[in-house]
Amino acid sequence: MSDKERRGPVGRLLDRVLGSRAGKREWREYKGRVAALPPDHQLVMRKIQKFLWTAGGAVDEQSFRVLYAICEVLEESAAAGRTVLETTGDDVAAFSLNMLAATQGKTWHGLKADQFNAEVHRLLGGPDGRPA
Amino acid sequence: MDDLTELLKGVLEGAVLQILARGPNYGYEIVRTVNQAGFESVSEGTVYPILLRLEKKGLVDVARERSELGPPRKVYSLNYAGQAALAAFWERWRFVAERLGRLKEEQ
Repeated sequence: MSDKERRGPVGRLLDRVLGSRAGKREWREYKGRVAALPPDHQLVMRKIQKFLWTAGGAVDEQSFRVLYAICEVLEESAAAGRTVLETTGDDVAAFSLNMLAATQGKTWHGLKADQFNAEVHRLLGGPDGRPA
Repeated sequence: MDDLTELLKGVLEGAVLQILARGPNYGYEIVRTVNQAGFESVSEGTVYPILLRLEKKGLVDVARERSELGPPRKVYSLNYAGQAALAAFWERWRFVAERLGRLKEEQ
């Protein structure tokens, strides 16, 4: 899976964000921890990872932080013998996006919203659009 | 009581801070305490993002406690900034409750 990721846009993001040695080590550790999860937890962790990188609009190194944080939650869940859905709730997408929102200042959609608002204010000659 | 989800948004953060004011606690125990307080539908999936946000905002300190089996468990504790945030939460709560009560009386 990791070879395939490295060829696509996600791979480029990985290379950019994981440029540092510490970043790469953290990523490798994360992969190992995911592989050590029981099957259901592991499946959901991998699905969440893909979901956050596509639908979630994660845009920066916080995209990695959130995966590490979710992995910790799922590890505790597995260690305590709880099912993965008991932990995430049935709405896995909402859980993932709430975790993302908690770690990250702005998602792609949030940045788009800021740009959009700035443009409307500029067109109306509002605070962001006043001539200097 | 069902479907408190919308109403509880923003309020649960205050509830979690209040629970941590009693002393350091584990994520799962915090969920259980919220449930026992009468909010039975509140799940782990709701509380963990709140804990992550509190951590990110620097309102709680997180320690990782070694456990016999499995990964270390995260222990959350309220720090000084968290205590201030809790006081601010109750102030906002009083404001909202008082204004809503007044609105209801006025009719």
